[in-house]
Amino acid sequence: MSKQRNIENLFSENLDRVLAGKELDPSALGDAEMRSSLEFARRISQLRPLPSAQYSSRLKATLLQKLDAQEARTKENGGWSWNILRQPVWQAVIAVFVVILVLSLVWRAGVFRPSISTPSPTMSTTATTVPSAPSATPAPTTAPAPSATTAAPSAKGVPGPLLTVGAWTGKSTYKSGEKIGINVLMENSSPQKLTLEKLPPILSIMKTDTETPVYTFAAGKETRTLAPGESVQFSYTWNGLDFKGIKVTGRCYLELEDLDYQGSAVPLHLGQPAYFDILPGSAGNSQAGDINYHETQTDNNISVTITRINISPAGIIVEAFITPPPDYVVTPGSGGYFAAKDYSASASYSFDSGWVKDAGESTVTYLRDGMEHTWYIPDTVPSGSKELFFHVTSIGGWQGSWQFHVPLE
Amino acid sequence: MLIFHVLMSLNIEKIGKSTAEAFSAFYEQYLPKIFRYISFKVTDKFLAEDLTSAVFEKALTKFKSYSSEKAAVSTWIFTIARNTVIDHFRARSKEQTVQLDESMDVPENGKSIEQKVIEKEEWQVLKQCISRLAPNEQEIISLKFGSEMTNRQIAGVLGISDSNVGVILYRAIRRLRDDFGRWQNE
Repeated sequence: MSKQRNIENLFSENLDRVLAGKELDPSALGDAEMRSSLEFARRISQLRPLPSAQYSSRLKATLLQKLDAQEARTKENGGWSWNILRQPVWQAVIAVFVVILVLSLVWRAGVFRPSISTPSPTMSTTATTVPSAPSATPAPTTAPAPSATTAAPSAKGVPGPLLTVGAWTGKSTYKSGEKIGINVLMENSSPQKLTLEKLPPILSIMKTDTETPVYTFAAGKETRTLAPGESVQFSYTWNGLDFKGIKVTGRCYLELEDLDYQGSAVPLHLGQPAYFDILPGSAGNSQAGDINYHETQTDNNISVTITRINISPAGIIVEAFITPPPDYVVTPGSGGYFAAKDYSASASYSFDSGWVKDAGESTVTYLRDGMEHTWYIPDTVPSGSKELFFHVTSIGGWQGSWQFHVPLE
Repeated sequence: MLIFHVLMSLNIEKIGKSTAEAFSAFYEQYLPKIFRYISFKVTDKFLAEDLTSAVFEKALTKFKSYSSEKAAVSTWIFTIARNTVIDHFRARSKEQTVQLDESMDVPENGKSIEQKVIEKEEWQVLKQCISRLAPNEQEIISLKFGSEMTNRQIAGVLGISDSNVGVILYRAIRRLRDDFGRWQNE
Protein backbone atom coordinates (compact mmCIF):
# COMPACT_ATOMS: atom_id res chain seq x y z
CA MET A 1 0.00 0.00 0.00
CA SER A 2 1.39 3.40 -0.93
CA LYS A 3 2.32 5.99 1.63
CA GLN A 4 -0.53 8.19 0.41
CA ARG A 5 -2.99 5.38 0.96
CA ASN A 6 -1.63 4.92 4.49
CA ILE A 7 -2.11 8.64 5.13
CA GLU A 8 -5.70 8.48 3.93
CA ASN A 9 -6.44 5.44 6.09
CA LEU A 10 -4.83 7.06 9.12
CA PHE A 11 -6.84 10.21 8.52
CA SER A 12 -10.09 8.26 8.32
CA GLU A 13 -9.33 6.38 11.54
CA ASN A 14 -8.53 9.60 13.37
CA LEU A 15 -11.57 11.33 11.93
CA ASP A 16 -13.80 8.56 13.26
CA ARG A 17 -12.24 9.14 16.68
CA VAL A 18 -12.92 12.88 16.43
CA LEU A 19 -16.56 12.27 15.56
CA ALA A 20 -16.90 9.83 18.43
CA GLY A 21 -15.61 12.54 20.77
CA LYS A 22 -12.48 10.57 21.63
CA GLU A 23 -9.07 12.06 22.22
CA LEU A 24 -6.42 11.63 19.57
CA ASP A 25 -3.04 10.09 20.17
CA PRO A 26 -0.60 12.89 19.26
CA SER A 27 2.07 10.43 18.20
CA ALA A 28 -0.26 8.83 15.66
CA LEU A 29 -1.37 12.05 13.96
CA GLY A 30 1.07 12.05 11.09
CA ASP A 31 2.30 15.31 9.62
CA ALA A 32 1.16 18.93 10.06
CA GLU A 33 -1.13 18.62 7.04
CA MET A 34 -3.11 15.84 8.69
CA ARG A 35 -3.20 17.57 12.07
CA SER A 36 -4.64 20.75 10.57
CA SER A 37 -7.18 18.72 8.58
CA LEU A 38 -8.27 16.90 11.73
CA GLU A 39 -8.56 20.15 13.65
CA PHE A 40 -10.75 21.51 10.89
CA ALA A 41 -12.84 18.35 10.95
CA ARG A 42 -13.27 18.79 14.71
CA ARG A 43 -14.52 22.32 14.04
CA ILE A 44 -17.07 21.01 11.52
CA SER A 45 -18.30 18.48 14.07
CA GLN A 46 -18.77 21.26 16.65
CA LEU A 47 -20.84 23.32 14.22
CA ARG A 48 -23.23 20.49 13.30
CA PRO A 49 -26.82 21.28 14.25
CA LEU A 50 -28.99 19.06 16.43
CA PRO A 51 -32.76 18.67 16.30
CA SER A 52 -34.53 20.62 19.02
CA ALA A 53 -35.90 18.66 21.98
CA GLN A 54 -39.41 19.91 21.21
CA TYR A 55 -39.24 18.68 17.62
CA SER A 56 -37.75 15.33 18.65
CA SER A 57 -40.40 14.52 21.23
CA ARG A 58 -43.26 15.77 19.02
CA LEU A 59 -42.13 13.62 16.09
CA LYS A 60 -41.59 10.57 18.30
CA ALA A 61 -45.08 10.87 19.74
CA THR A 62 -46.58 11.17 16.25
CA LEU A 63 -44.68 8.16 14.97
CA LEU A 64 -45.56 5.95 17.92
CA GLN A 65 -49.22 6.88 17.52
CA LYS A 66 -49.05 5.81 13.88
CA LEU A 67 -47.32 2.60 14.91
CA ASP A 68 -50.11 1.88 17.41
CA ALA A 69 -52.68 2.49 14.70
CA GLN A 70 -50.81 0.12 12.40
CA GLU A 71 -50.68 -2.56 15.07
CA ALA A 72 -54.39 -2.15 15.81
CA ARG A 73 -55.23 -2.56 12.12
CA THR A 74 -53.11 -5.69 11.93
CA LYS A 75 -54.87 -7.12 14.99
CA GLU A 76 -58.29 -6.34 13.52
CA ASN A 77 -57.47 -7.93 10.19
CA GLY A 78 -56.40 -11.09 12.04
CA GLY A 79 -60.17 -11.61 12.83
CA TRP A 80 -61.39 -15.10 13.63
CA SER A 81 -58.04 -16.71 12.82
CA TRP A 82 -56.42 -14.60 15.53
CA ASN A 83 -58.93 -15.79 18.13
CA ILE A 84 -58.38 -19.41 17.19
CA LEU A 85 -54.59 -19.07 17.32
CA ARG A 86 -54.74 -17.77 20.90
CA GLN A 87 -55.87 -21.23 22.02
CA PRO A 88 -53.07 -23.27 23.64
CA VAL A 89 -53.59 -26.31 21.40
CA TRP A 90 -53.02 -24.35 18.26
CA GLN A 91 -50.08 -22.55 19.81
CA ALA A 92 -48.44 -25.90 20.55
CA VAL A 93 -49.05 -27.11 16.98
CA ILE A 94 -47.57 -23.97 15.53
CA ALA A 95 -44.56 -24.16 17.85
CA VAL A 96 -43.78 -27.72 16.68
CA PHE A 97 -44.18 -26.63 13.08
CA VAL A 98 -41.77 -23.74 13.61
CA VAL A 99 -39.13 -25.98 15.15
CA ILE A 100 -39.34 -28.44 12.24
CA LEU A 101 -39.12 -25.58 9.75
CA VAL A 102 -36.07 -24.07 11.44
CA LEU A 103 -34.26 -27.41 11.56
CA SER A 104 -34.91 -28.07 7.88
CA LEU A 105 -33.64 -24.62 6.90
CA VAL A 106 -30.51 -25.10 9.00
CA TRP A 107 -29.92 -28.51 7.39
CA ARG A 108 -30.33 -27.06 3.90
CA ALA A 109 -27.92 -24.26 4.71
CA GLY A 110 -25.31 -26.97 5.19
CA VAL A 111 -24.38 -26.06 8.77
CA PHE A 112 -23.61 -29.71 9.52
CA ARG A 113 -21.67 -30.32 6.33
CA PRO A 114 -17.87 -29.92 6.08
CA SER A 115 -16.96 -26.31 5.33
CA ILE A 116 -15.19 -25.23 2.17
CA SER A 117 -12.01 -23.29 2.90
CA THR A 118 -11.88 -19.83 1.37
CA PRO A 119 -8.70 -18.73 -0.35
CA SER A 120 -6.51 -16.20 1.38
CA PRO A 121 -5.15 -13.26 -0.57
CA THR A 122 -1.77 -13.81 -2.12
CA MET A 123 0.56 -11.35 -3.66
CA SER A 124 3.77 -12.08 -5.45
CA THR A 125 6.04 -9.50 -6.91
CA THR A 126 8.12 -9.60 -10.02
CA ALA A 127 10.45 -7.01 -11.34
CA THR A 128 8.87 -4.17 -13.29
CA THR A 129 10.24 -3.85 -16.77
CA VAL A 130 10.12 -0.50 -18.52
CA PRO A 131 10.96 -1.10 -22.14
CA SER A 132 13.34 1.51 -23.48
CA ALA A 133 11.95 2.09 -26.96
CA PRO A 134 13.93 4.38 -29.24
CA SER A 135 10.86 6.51 -30.15
CA ALA A 136 8.76 8.73 -27.89
CA THR A 137 5.61 6.64 -28.31
CA PRO A 138 5.28 3.21 -26.72
CA ALA A 139 5.04 0.07 -28.87
CA PRO A 140 1.45 -1.03 -28.42
CA THR A 141 1.94 -4.61 -29.53
CA THR A 142 4.63 -5.62 -27.06
CA ALA A 143 3.62 -6.83 -23.66
CA PRO A 144 6.26 -6.61 -20.95
CA ALA A 145 6.44 -8.94 -17.99
CA PRO A 146 3.62 -8.14 -15.57
CA SER A 147 4.84 -6.24 -12.58
CA ALA A 148 2.49 -7.72 -9.95
CA THR A 149 -0.11 -10.34 -9.30
CA THR A 150 -3.25 -9.19 -7.53
CA ALA A 151 -5.74 -11.29 -5.60
CA ALA A 152 -9.41 -10.63 -4.87
CA PRO A 153 -9.87 -11.75 -1.25
CA SER A 154 -13.63 -11.62 -1.24
CA ALA A 155 -14.66 -12.46 -4.79
CA LYS A 156 -17.34 -15.06 -4.53
CA GLY A 157 -16.50 -18.55 -5.80
CA VAL A 158 -13.38 -17.56 -7.76
CA PRO A 159 -10.31 -18.75 -5.88
CA GLY A 160 -6.82 -17.47 -6.59
CA PRO A 161 -5.69 -14.18 -8.12
CA LEU A 162 -8.04 -12.45 -10.55
CA LEU A 163 -5.88 -10.08 -12.49
CA THR A 164 -2.27 -9.74 -13.47
CA VAL A 165 -1.45 -6.09 -13.93
CA GLY A 166 1.44 -4.32 -15.54
CA ALA A 167 2.11 -0.65 -16.23
CA TRP A 168 4.96 1.06 -18.04
CA THR A 169 5.90 4.22 -19.85
CA GLY A 170 7.37 4.40 -23.32
CA LYS A 171 10.69 5.70 -22.03
CA SER A 172 12.40 5.97 -18.71
CA THR A 173 13.39 9.62 -19.17
CA TYR A 174 11.46 12.55 -20.58
CA LYS A 175 11.92 16.27 -21.00
CA SER A 176 9.66 18.66 -19.14
CA GLY A 177 6.46 19.26 -21.12
CA GLU A 178 6.99 16.21 -23.32
CA LYS A 179 3.98 13.97 -23.81
CA ILE A 180 4.31 10.76 -21.87
CA GLY A 181 2.69 7.62 -23.18
CA ILE A 182 1.59 5.19 -20.47
CA ASN A 183 0.31 1.67 -20.94
CA VAL A 184 -1.56 -0.54 -18.55
CA LEU A 185 -2.05 -4.21 -19.22
CA MET A 186 -4.63 -6.28 -17.35
CA GLU A 187 -4.78 -10.04 -17.83
CA ASN A 188 -7.49 -12.33 -16.51
CA SER A 189 -5.55 -14.80 -14.37
CA SER A 190 -8.64 -16.54 -13.07
CA PRO A 191 -10.29 -19.67 -14.45
CA GLN A 192 -13.54 -17.80 -15.12
CA LYS A 193 -14.48 -14.94 -17.38
CA LEU A 194 -14.45 -11.57 -15.70
CA THR A 195 -16.61 -8.59 -16.55
CA LEU A 196 -14.81 -5.45 -15.49
CA GLU A 197 -16.45 -2.05 -15.32
CA LYS A 198 -15.25 1.54 -15.29
CA LEU A 199 -12.34 0.95 -17.56
CA PRO A 200 -9.67 2.22 -18.11
CA PRO A 201 -8.91 2.15 -14.36
CA ILE A 202 -7.97 5.23 -12.34
CA LEU A 203 -4.27 5.92 -12.83
CA SER A 204 -2.22 8.36 -10.78
CA ILE A 205 1.17 9.85 -11.53
CA MET A 206 3.00 9.96 -8.19
CA LYS A 207 6.04 11.97 -7.20
CA THR A 208 8.64 9.89 -5.40
CA ASP A 209 9.81 12.70 -3.12
CA THR A 210 6.34 13.51 -1.73
CA GLU A 211 4.57 10.20 -2.53
CA THR A 212 1.52 12.21 -3.52
CA PRO A 213 -0.28 12.26 -6.85
CA VAL A 214 0.51 15.12 -9.19
CA TYR A 215 -2.04 14.02 -11.72
CA THR A 216 -4.83 11.46 -11.88
CA PHE A 217 -6.63 10.01 -14.87
CA ALA A 218 -10.25 9.45 -13.94
CA ALA A 219 -11.82 6.05 -14.54
CA GLY A 220 -13.37 5.41 -17.93
CA LYS A 221 -16.90 4.26 -18.59
CA GLU A 222 -16.15 1.12 -20.58
CA THR A 223 -17.07 -2.41 -19.60
CA ARG A 224 -15.01 -5.33 -20.83
CA THR A 225 -15.43 -9.07 -20.42
CA LEU A 226 -12.18 -11.02 -20.38
CA ALA A 227 -12.03 -14.76 -20.95
CA PRO A 228 -9.49 -16.71 -18.83
CA GLY A 229 -6.05 -15.74 -20.04
CA GLU A 230 -7.34 -12.85 -22.13
CA SER A 231 -5.75 -9.46 -21.62
CA VAL A 232 -6.62 -5.88 -22.41
CA GLN A 233 -4.31 -2.93 -22.74
CA PHE A 234 -5.06 0.73 -22.17
CA SER A 235 -3.07 3.71 -23.28
CA TYR A 236 -2.91 7.02 -21.52
CA THR A 237 -1.21 10.17 -22.72
CA TRP A 238 -0.04 12.53 -20.03
CA ASN A 239 1.04 16.03 -21.02
CA GLY A 240 3.43 16.33 -18.09
CA LEU A 241 1.30 18.91 -16.26
CA ASP A 242 -0.04 18.59 -12.73
CA PHE A 243 -3.58 19.31 -11.47
CA LYS A 244 -2.89 23.04 -11.64
CA GLY A 245 -1.40 22.99 -15.13
CA ILE A 246 2.20 23.36 -13.94
CA LYS A 247 4.96 21.29 -15.58
CA VAL A 248 6.19 18.43 -13.45
CA THR A 249 9.86 17.52 -13.14
CA GLY A 250 11.67 14.90 -11.13
CA ARG A 251 11.20 11.23 -10.49
CA CYS A 252 7.68 9.85 -10.79
CA TYR A 253 5.98 6.51 -10.65
CA LEU A 254 2.62 5.04 -11.61
CA GLU A 255 -0.11 3.91 -9.25
CA LEU A 256 -3.45 2.31 -10.03
CA GLU A 257 -6.62 2.69 -7.96
CA ASP A 258 -8.60 -0.33 -6.81
CA LEU A 259 -11.06 -1.76 -9.29
CA ASP A 260 -14.59 -2.70 -8.23
CA TYR A 261 -15.54 -6.28 -8.95
CA GLN A 262 -18.82 -7.74 -7.74
CA GLY A 263 -18.89 -5.35 -4.82
CA SER A 264 -15.32 -6.06 -3.76
CA ALA A 265 -12.32 -3.84 -4.21
CA VAL A 266 -9.67 -5.53 -6.33
CA PRO A 267 -6.34 -3.85 -5.61
CA LEU A 268 -4.25 -3.25 -8.71
CA HIS A 269 -0.90 -3.21 -6.96
CA LEU A 270 2.23 -2.94 -9.03
CA GLY A 271 4.74 -5.01 -7.09
CA GLN A 272 7.56 -2.67 -7.97
CA PRO A 273 6.58 0.85 -9.03
CA ALA A 274 7.16 1.84 -12.65
CA TYR A 275 9.55 4.79 -12.31
CA PHE A 276 10.37 7.40 -14.88
CA ASP A 277 12.20 10.71 -14.78
CA ILE A 278 11.22 14.11 -16.15
CA LEU A 279 14.17 16.40 -16.71
CA PRO A 280 13.98 20.19 -16.68
CA GLY A 281 14.02 21.83 -20.10
CA SER A 282 11.23 22.03 -22.61
CA ALA A 283 9.83 19.91 -25.38
CA GLY A 284 8.25 21.31 -28.54
CA ASN A 285 4.67 22.54 -28.56
CA SER A 286 1.90 20.74 -30.36
CA GLN A 287 -1.07 22.33 -32.08
CA ALA A 288 -2.93 25.05 -30.22
CA GLY A 289 -5.82 27.46 -30.72
CA ASP A 290 -9.56 27.90 -30.62
CA ILE A 291 -11.88 25.72 -32.68
CA ASN A 292 -14.69 27.54 -34.40
CA TYR A 293 -17.66 25.59 -33.04
CA HIS A 294 -21.01 26.79 -31.68
CA GLU A 295 -23.78 24.26 -31.26
CA THR A 296 -26.78 23.93 -28.99
CA GLN A 297 -28.36 20.72 -27.75
CA THR A 298 -31.52 20.52 -25.67
CA ASP A 299 -32.66 17.69 -23.46
CA ASN A 300 -34.89 17.53 -20.40
CA ASN A 301 -35.81 21.19 -21.10
CA ILE A 302 -32.21 22.26 -20.50
CA SER A 303 -30.15 23.71 -23.36
CA VAL A 304 -26.37 23.44 -23.54
CA THR A 305 -24.56 25.73 -25.98
CA ILE A 306 -20.87 25.16 -26.60
CA THR A 307 -19.34 28.63 -26.78
CA ARG A 308 -15.63 27.89 -26.96
CA ILE A 309 -13.23 25.02 -27.41
CA ASN A 310 -9.54 25.67 -26.98
CA ILE A 311 -6.79 23.17 -27.61
CA SER A 312 -3.25 23.69 -26.34
CA PRO A 313 -0.33 21.66 -25.01
CA ALA A 314 -1.78 22.26 -21.55
CA GLY A 315 -5.00 20.50 -22.49
CA ILE A 316 -8.48 21.12 -23.78
CA ILE A 317 -10.85 23.78 -22.49
CA VAL A 318 -14.55 23.47 -23.23
CA GLU A 319 -16.85 26.35 -22.34
CA ALA A 320 -20.60 26.23 -22.50
CA PHE A 321 -23.63 28.27 -21.53
CA ILE A 322 -26.40 26.23 -19.89
CA THR A 323 -29.97 27.40 -19.34
CA PRO A 324 -31.44 27.10 -15.83
CA PRO A 325 -32.77 23.68 -14.76
CA PRO A 326 -36.27 23.66 -13.20
CA ASP A 327 -34.94 23.87 -9.62
CA TYR A 328 -32.46 26.66 -10.36
CA VAL A 329 -32.32 29.16 -7.49
CA VAL A 330 -29.69 31.88 -7.20
CA THR A 331 -29.28 34.81 -4.88
CA PRO A 332 -27.18 37.86 -5.62
CA GLY A 333 -24.18 38.49 -3.46
CA SER A 334 -20.91 40.36 -3.53
CA GLY A 335 -18.99 39.23 -6.57
CA GLY A 336 -21.89 37.56 -8.37
CA TYR A 337 -24.68 35.08 -7.82
CA PHE A 338 -24.75 32.13 -5.46
CA ALA A 339 -26.76 29.00 -6.09
CA ALA A 340 -28.74 27.07 -3.51
CA LYS A 341 -27.06 23.86 -4.64
CA ASP A 342 -24.21 22.74 -6.83
CA TYR A 343 -25.00 22.66 -10.56
CA SER A 344 -21.69 21.29 -11.79
CA ALA A 345 -22.08 19.32 -14.99
CA SER A 346 -20.52 15.93 -15.72
CA ALA A 347 -19.21 15.07 -19.15
CA SER A 348 -17.20 12.49 -21.04
CA TYR A 349 -15.21 12.73 -24.25
CA SER A 350 -13.43 10.66 -26.85
CA PHE A 351 -11.46 11.11 -30.05
CA ASP A 352 -12.57 9.42 -33.28
CA SER A 353 -14.84 6.95 -31.44
CA GLY A 354 -11.95 5.73 -29.32
CA TRP A 355 -11.92 5.09 -25.56
CA VAL A 356 -14.48 7.17 -23.71
CA LYS A 357 -12.82 9.20 -20.95
CA ASP A 358 -14.22 11.17 -18.10
CA ALA A 359 -14.00 14.95 -18.61
CA GLY A 360 -14.83 15.44 -14.95
CA GLU A 361 -17.10 18.08 -13.57
CA SER A 362 -17.29 21.64 -14.73
CA THR A 363 -16.54 24.78 -12.78
CA VAL A 364 -19.56 27.06 -12.76
CA THR A 365 -20.22 30.78 -12.84
CA TYR A 366 -23.82 31.46 -11.88
CA LEU A 367 -25.80 34.15 -13.65
CA ARG A 368 -29.33 35.31 -13.20
CA ASP A 369 -30.56 33.62 -16.37
CA GLY A 370 -28.20 30.67 -16.68
CA MET A 371 -24.73 29.35 -16.02
CA GLU A 372 -21.33 29.44 -17.63
CA HIS A 373 -19.58 26.10 -17.38
CA THR A 374 -15.94 25.31 -18.06
CA TRP A 375 -14.29 21.91 -18.32
CA TYR A 376 -10.51 21.77 -18.05
CA ILE A 377 -9.38 18.52 -19.62
CA PRO A 378 -5.66 17.95 -19.12
CA ASP A 379 -5.34 15.73 -22.15
CA THR A 380 -3.85 16.28 -25.57
CA VAL A 381 -5.44 15.58 -28.91
CA PRO A 382 -3.88 12.50 -30.51
CA SER A 383 -2.25 13.44 -33.78
CA GLY A 384 -4.40 12.73 -36.78
CA SER A 385 -7.66 12.89 -34.81
CA LYS A 386 -10.57 14.14 -36.86
CA GLU A 387 -13.30 14.52 -34.29
CA LEU A 388 -13.79 15.25 -30.60
CA PHE A 389 -16.98 13.75 -29.18
CA PHE A 390 -18.05 15.69 -26.09
CA HIS A 391 -21.00 14.35 -24.11
CA VAL A 392 -22.60 16.16 -21.19
CA THR A 393 -24.44 13.60 -19.06
CA SER A 394 -25.80 15.49 -16.08
CA ILE A 395 -26.25 19.04 -14.86
CA GLY A 396 -26.71 19.58 -11.14
CA GLY A 397 -28.23 16.13 -10.74
CA TRP A 398 -30.50 16.52 -13.80
CA GLN A 399 -29.77 13.60 -16.10
CA GLY A 400 -29.74 14.04 -19.84
CA SER A 401 -27.72 13.56 -22.97
CA TRP A 402 -26.20 16.58 -24.70
CA GLN A 403 -23.87 15.34 -27.44
CA PHE A 404 -21.49 17.35 -29.55
CA HIS A 405 -19.40 16.09 -32.47
CA VAL A 406 -16.63 18.64 -32.87
CA PRO A 407 -14.60 18.46 -36.07
CA LEU A 408 -10.90 18.95 -35.42
CA GLU A 409 -9.00 20.92 -38.03
CA MET B 1 -40.45 -13.51 7.27
CA LEU B 2 -42.79 -16.51 7.56
CA ILE B 3 -41.25 -17.35 10.93
CA PHE B 4 -41.59 -13.76 11.98
CA HIS B 5 -45.26 -13.65 11.09
CA VAL B 6 -45.91 -16.99 12.82
CA LEU B 7 -44.21 -15.74 15.98
CA MET B 8 -46.22 -12.56 15.73
CA SER B 9 -49.46 -14.50 15.78
CA LEU B 10 -48.39 -16.48 18.89
CA ASN B 11 -47.93 -13.53 21.16
CA ILE B 12 -48.80 -10.38 19.41
CA GLU B 13 -49.22 -8.24 22.51
CA LYS B 14 -45.68 -8.86 23.67
CA ILE B 15 -44.34 -8.49 20.17
CA GLY B 16 -46.44 -5.34 19.77
CA LYS B 17 -44.73 -3.76 22.76
CA SER B 18 -41.35 -4.92 21.49
CA THR B 19 -41.97 -3.34 18.10
CA ALA B 20 -42.70 0.01 19.69
CA GLU B 21 -39.66 -0.33 21.93
CA ALA B 22 -37.51 -1.39 19.01
CA PHE B 23 -38.72 1.51 16.92
CA SER B 24 -38.18 3.94 19.78
CA ALA B 25 -34.62 2.74 20.23
CA PHE B 26 -34.06 2.97 16.47
CA TYR B 27 -35.55 6.48 16.44
CA GLU B 28 -33.39 7.71 19.34
CA GLN B 29 -30.27 6.35 17.70
CA TYR B 30 -30.84 7.65 14.20
CA LEU B 31 -32.80 10.89 14.60
CA PRO B 32 -29.74 13.08 15.31
CA LYS B 33 -27.79 11.44 12.48
CA ILE B 34 -30.57 11.75 9.90
CA PHE B 35 -31.26 15.35 10.94
CA ARG B 36 -27.60 16.27 10.71
CA TYR B 37 -27.19 14.55 7.36
CA ILE B 38 -30.16 16.47 5.94
CA SER B 39 -28.87 19.69 7.52
CA PHE B 40 -25.79 19.41 5.37
CA LYS B 41 -28.00 19.20 2.29
CA VAL B 42 -30.48 22.02 2.95
CA THR B 43 -30.15 25.44 4.54
CA ASP B 44 -33.63 25.85 6.00
CA LYS B 45 -34.18 24.43 9.49
CA PHE B 46 -37.89 23.81 9.02
CA LEU B 47 -37.25 22.06 5.72
CA ALA B 48 -34.69 19.83 7.45
CA GLU B 49 -37.28 18.97 10.10
CA ASP B 50 -39.93 18.22 7.44
CA LEU B 51 -37.59 15.99 5.47
CA THR B 52 -36.43 14.22 8.64
CA SER B 53 -40.05 13.55 9.55
CA ALA B 54 -40.70 12.20 6.04
CA VAL B 55 -37.73 9.85 6.36
CA PHE B 56 -38.94 8.38 9.63
CA GLU B 57 -42.51 8.03 8.40
CA LYS B 58 -41.23 6.04 5.44
CA ALA B 59 -39.04 4.00 7.77
CA LEU B 60 -42.05 3.33 9.99
CA THR B 61 -44.12 1.85 7.16
CA LYS B 62 -41.20 -0.40 6.16
CA PHE B 63 -39.95 -1.15 9.67
CA LYS B 64 -41.53 -4.56 10.05
CA SER B 65 -40.54 -5.69 6.58
CA TYR B 66 -36.92 -4.59 6.97
CA SER B 67 -34.50 -7.49 6.61
CA SER B 68 -30.91 -7.31 7.77
CA GLU B 69 -30.03 -9.80 5.04
CA LYS B 70 -30.58 -7.13 2.41
CA ALA B 71 -28.74 -4.27 4.05
CA ALA B 72 -27.42 -3.03 7.36
CA VAL B 73 -29.78 -0.74 9.27
CA SER B 74 -27.60 2.31 8.64
CA THR B 75 -27.46 1.58 4.91
CA TRP B 76 -31.22 1.07 4.83
CA ILE B 77 -32.22 4.25 6.65
CA PHE B 78 -29.68 6.44 4.88
CA THR B 79 -30.79 5.16 1.50
CA ILE B 80 -34.28 6.28 2.46
CA ALA B 81 -32.86 9.64 3.58
CA ARG B 82 -30.88 10.17 0.37
CA ASN B 83 -33.85 9.31 -1.81
CA THR B 84 -36.09 11.62 0.22
CA VAL B 85 -33.71 14.54 -0.27
CA ILE B 86 -33.30 13.80 -3.98
CA ASP B 87 -37.06 13.54 -4.44
CA HIS B 88 -37.51 16.84 -2.66
CA PHE B 89 -35.12 18.71 -4.95
CA ARG B 90 -36.69 17.18 -8.03
CA ALA B 91 -40.23 17.92 -6.93
CA ARG B 92 -39.58 21.52 -5.96
CA SER B 93 -41.48 23.44 -8.62
CA LYS B 94 -40.97 27.16 -8.12
CA GLU B 95 -38.13 29.24 -6.74
CA GLN B 96 -37.69 29.38 -3.01
CA THR B 97 -35.45 32.15 -1.90
CA VAL B 98 -33.12 31.01 0.80
CA GLN B 99 -34.09 32.78 4.01
CA LEU B 100 -30.85 33.23 5.81
CA ASP B 101 -32.59 34.09 9.06
CA GLU B 102 -34.22 30.64 9.06
CA SER B 103 -30.89 28.89 8.75
CA MET B 104 -29.79 26.13 11.04
CA ASP B 105 -29.20 26.72 14.72
CA VAL B 106 -25.87 25.43 15.90
CA PRO B 107 -25.84 23.54 19.21
CA GLU B 108 -26.25 25.78 22.25
CA ASN B 109 -24.18 24.04 24.95
CA GLY B 110 -24.25 27.08 27.23
CA LYS B 111 -22.52 29.45 24.85
CA SER B 112 -22.60 33.24 24.91
CA ILE B 113 -24.73 35.13 22.40
CA GLU B 114 -21.64 36.43 20.65
CA GLN B 115 -20.28 32.92 20.32
CA LYS B 116 -23.56 31.67 18.94
CA VAL B 117 -23.63 34.44 16.34
CA ILE B 118 -20.07 33.65 15.27
CA GLU B 119 -20.78 29.95 15.01
CA LYS B 120 -23.96 30.58 13.07
CA GLU B 121 -22.00 32.64 10.55
CA GLU B 122 -19.29 29.99 10.39
CA TRP B 123 -21.90 27.33 9.72
CA GLN B 124 -23.38 29.36 6.86
CA VAL B 125 -19.94 29.88 5.35
CA LEU B 126 -19.11 26.23 5.80
CA LYS B 127 -22.29 25.32 3.89
CA GLN B 128 -21.24 27.67 1.07
CA CYS B 129 -17.82 26.03 0.95
CA ILE B 130 -19.42 22.60 0.86
CA SER B 131 -21.65 23.68 -2.02
CA ARG B 132 -18.50 24.37 -4.03
CA LEU B 133 -17.32 20.78 -3.72
CA ALA B 134 -18.08 18.17 -6.34
CA PRO B 135 -21.41 16.35 -5.76
CA ASN B 136 -19.74 13.11 -4.71
CA GLU B 137 -17.55 15.01 -2.23
CA GLN B 138 -20.60 16.80 -0.80
CA GLU B 139 -22.42 13.52 -0.38
CA ILE B 140 -19.52 11.88 1.42
CA ILE B 141 -19.02 14.89 3.70
CA SER B 142 -22.75 14.90 4.52
CA LEU B 143 -22.77 11.19 5.29
CA LYS B 144 -19.56 11.32 7.32
CA PHE B 145 -20.36 14.32 9.48
CA GLY B 146 -24.12 13.87 9.46
CA SER B 147 -24.43 10.18 10.11
CA GLU B 148 -20.96 9.45 11.55
CA MET B 149 -20.81 6.36 9.36
CA THR B 150 -17.58 4.51 8.81
CA ASN B 151 -16.04 4.61 5.36
CA ARG B 152 -17.23 1.08 4.75
CA GLN B 153 -20.81 1.97 5.58
CA ILE B 154 -20.66 5.04 3.35
CA ALA B 155 -19.27 2.89 0.55
CA GLY B 156 -22.22 0.55 1.01
CA VAL B 157 -24.71 3.40 0.67
CA LEU B 158 -23.02 4.95 -2.36
CA GLY B 159 -22.00 1.74 -4.09
CA ILE B 160 -18.29 2.55 -4.28
CA SER B 161 -15.21 1.04 -2.66
CA ASP B 162 -14.28 2.12 0.85
CA SER B 163 -10.79 3.04 -0.32
CA ASN B 164 -12.40 5.49 -2.75
CA VAL B 165 -14.36 6.97 0.15
CA GLY B 166 -11.13 7.50 2.09
CA VAL B 167 -9.41 9.18 -0.84
CA ILE B 168 -12.31 11.48 -1.62
CA LEU B 169 -12.90 12.31 2.04
CA TYR B 170 -9.33 13.34 2.76
CA ARG B 171 -9.11 15.49 -0.34
CA ALA B 172 -12.51 17.09 0.29
CA ILE B 173 -11.62 18.00 3.88
CA ARG B 174 -8.40 19.63 2.78
CA ARG B 175 -10.19 21.63 0.10
CA LEU B 176 -12.83 22.71 2.59
CA ARG B 177 -10.17 23.67 5.10
CA ASP B 178 -8.35 25.80 2.52
CA ASP B 179 -11.56 27.42 1.22
CA PHE B 180 -12.82 28.12 4.74
CA GLY B 181 -9.39 29.44 5.71
CA ARG B 182 -9.48 31.95 2.84
CA TRP B 183 -12.76 33.35 4.18
CA GLN B 184 -11.34 33.59 7.70
CA ASN B 185 -8.29 35.46 6.46
CA GLU B 186 -10.34 38.09 4.55
